[in-house]
Amino acid sequence: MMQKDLKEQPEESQREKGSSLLVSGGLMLISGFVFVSSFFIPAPEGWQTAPGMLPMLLGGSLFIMASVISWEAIKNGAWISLKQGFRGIGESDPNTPLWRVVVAILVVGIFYFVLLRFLLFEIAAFLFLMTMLQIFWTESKFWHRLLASLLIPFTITVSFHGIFGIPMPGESNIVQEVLFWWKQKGS
Amino acid sequence: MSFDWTYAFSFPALLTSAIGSALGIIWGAMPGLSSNMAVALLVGFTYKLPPEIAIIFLISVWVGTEFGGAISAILINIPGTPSAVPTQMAGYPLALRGEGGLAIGTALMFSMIGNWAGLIVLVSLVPVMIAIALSFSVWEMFLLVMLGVAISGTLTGREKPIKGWAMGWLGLMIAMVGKDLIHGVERYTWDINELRAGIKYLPVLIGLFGLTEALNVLSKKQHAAVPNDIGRVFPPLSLLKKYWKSALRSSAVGTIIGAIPGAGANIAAYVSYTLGEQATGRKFSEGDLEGVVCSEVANNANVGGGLLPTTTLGIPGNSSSALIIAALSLQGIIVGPNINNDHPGFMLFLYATLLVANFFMYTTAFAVVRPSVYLLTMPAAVVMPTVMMLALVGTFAASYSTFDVSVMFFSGVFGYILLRHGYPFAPLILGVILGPMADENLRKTIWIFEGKYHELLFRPVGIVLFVGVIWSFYYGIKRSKRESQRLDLDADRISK
Repeated sequence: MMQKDLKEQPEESQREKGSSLLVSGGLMLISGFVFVSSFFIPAPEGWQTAPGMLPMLLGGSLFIMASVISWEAIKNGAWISLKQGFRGIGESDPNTPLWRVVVAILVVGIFYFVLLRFLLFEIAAFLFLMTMLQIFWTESKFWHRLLASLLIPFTITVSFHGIFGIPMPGESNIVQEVLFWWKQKGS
Repeated sequence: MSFDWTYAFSFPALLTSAIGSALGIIWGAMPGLSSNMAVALLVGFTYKLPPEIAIIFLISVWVGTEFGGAISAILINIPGTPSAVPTQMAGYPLALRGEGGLAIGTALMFSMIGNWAGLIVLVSLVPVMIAIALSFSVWEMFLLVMLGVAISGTLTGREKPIKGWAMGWLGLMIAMVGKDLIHGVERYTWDINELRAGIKYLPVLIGLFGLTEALNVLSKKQHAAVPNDIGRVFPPLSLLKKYWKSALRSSAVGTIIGAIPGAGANIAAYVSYTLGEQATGRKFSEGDLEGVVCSEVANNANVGGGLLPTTTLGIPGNSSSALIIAALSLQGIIVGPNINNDHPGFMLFLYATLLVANFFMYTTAFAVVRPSVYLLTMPAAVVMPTVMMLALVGTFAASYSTFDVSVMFFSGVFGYILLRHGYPFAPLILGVILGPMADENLRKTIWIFEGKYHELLFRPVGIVLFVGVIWSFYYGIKRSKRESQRLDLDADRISK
């Protein structure tokens, strides 16, 4: 009966139900780990002021809460949804919120952790913005996307670094290089 | 550090407040950009500013965004901030009838009244709260933290309060990472140098309010049609006479809910809206200025209410207050019962700041409302990647640490997963901020009262707080059961 009901639900909501079990399961794992490892934290002045006391209490009670949430999810058919969700993951529509977010997270991750290590801030930010706009701002013209990708990073660096002197992430940035060159030239 | 309240009326302060208010209104008006996001992204940028200017700027932005959310809610049926949802329900039908300008003007006028109410409550109750807080011992402080986290979980977890409590507990657990405050013993650091100082809460907040919300908006496809003419914006003063009862009731609701830890402006606005419908016997969703009044007064009164526990107890009343705590601690200002001794003049300066911010919210709004209507057409696909960049720059600016950028990124991703599955953020944030306080006070309690634990039973404030914690869990469980029974009945009715 439950399986039949689930088949009638849209793919996205089924996957949501299944992944809710993954989230509560994740919470169970984290809290279980915190609970167990709290016993191995040294207690220099006895149990009364033991640094592991609150983590132990929190880990134990969160484990119970997460178990209750997981149990409720299983009762609502999350286990079956999870299995079906995994089976259909390769065939799902790339326009669903899940895929849009996965793509966004990947692009942001590459920008934060890869591009900024090797490129000047504005260049990394241009590549990031251009990619994001290409994916998400599909109804615009190419030169609109190009202009936005060029202007926004420069506006941010000029206003924050150029005017307020706030340090920017990454190796360096064009505004900083230009300001440095200008000062060198002046002296 | 001491403060001079008259500085709030100096030219640089007034200019900062005007800029902050205008920026806040524009920010709040743009769909998907919440007040929490605005304050979160700007905290890092204010790090290099003088403390007075930083506080004035952030408070003005916060006040501005609380009103700004009403603009897009009324005109395009997309709430700029979550607390503007009731405004949207009552205001959008008015915009369809060509009265959008009047609804915005009414929202503005009553937002100002809400701010005034919050300020009056703040000014009158701060001395009382400080006096009470100074009588708290370590046991009461521990219970107060637990009460805050428990209530926040109960209120924000809606039909599943257990998810709210789980988030609160998770936040407290995150705060356990790093060296403990009593012995300096390392907990969950795995020899990673950056973890020894603990996980800072600012990157977590920026991740949750910046990156998570940006991901959430990008996941949806939103298209908004902006009306050509919004009509007259300046509201007739007769509305004050007409809606004073609703304004008074909503002020009380907004400030009281604001003072409850973790219960934000959105809860205040919903409760006030519902009470307004019950009091008038009308359905505001058919388009009603009184619905706009109820919602806007409450969500703005929430600002002052939220600052009450924030400044006197160090316990944030809502998420934006939590961010204000983060901004203040970056400036070396630690709020709590000793605020008047540690930072003489700070409270007076804060009152003056709220006064100035309120004035500029009202005056700049008339100049900003019409241009901000055009900004409503800005595509989320451009705004949200920019927010992601600002989240990066804001996090980095506060500590120059790439490790904090990683914390922000993973908080944002993790936050999105939690958001999708109905886990609220407010208790998580409270837990992260209050964790060290809970840890230190619990262990000191056990140590101080060793062998005489029965004495804890004879401390009246402690008993009240303890009963509060238990009641909060009991109420949450009872409401959850009632809600699941209602859902079962609905499901039965549909299947028949």
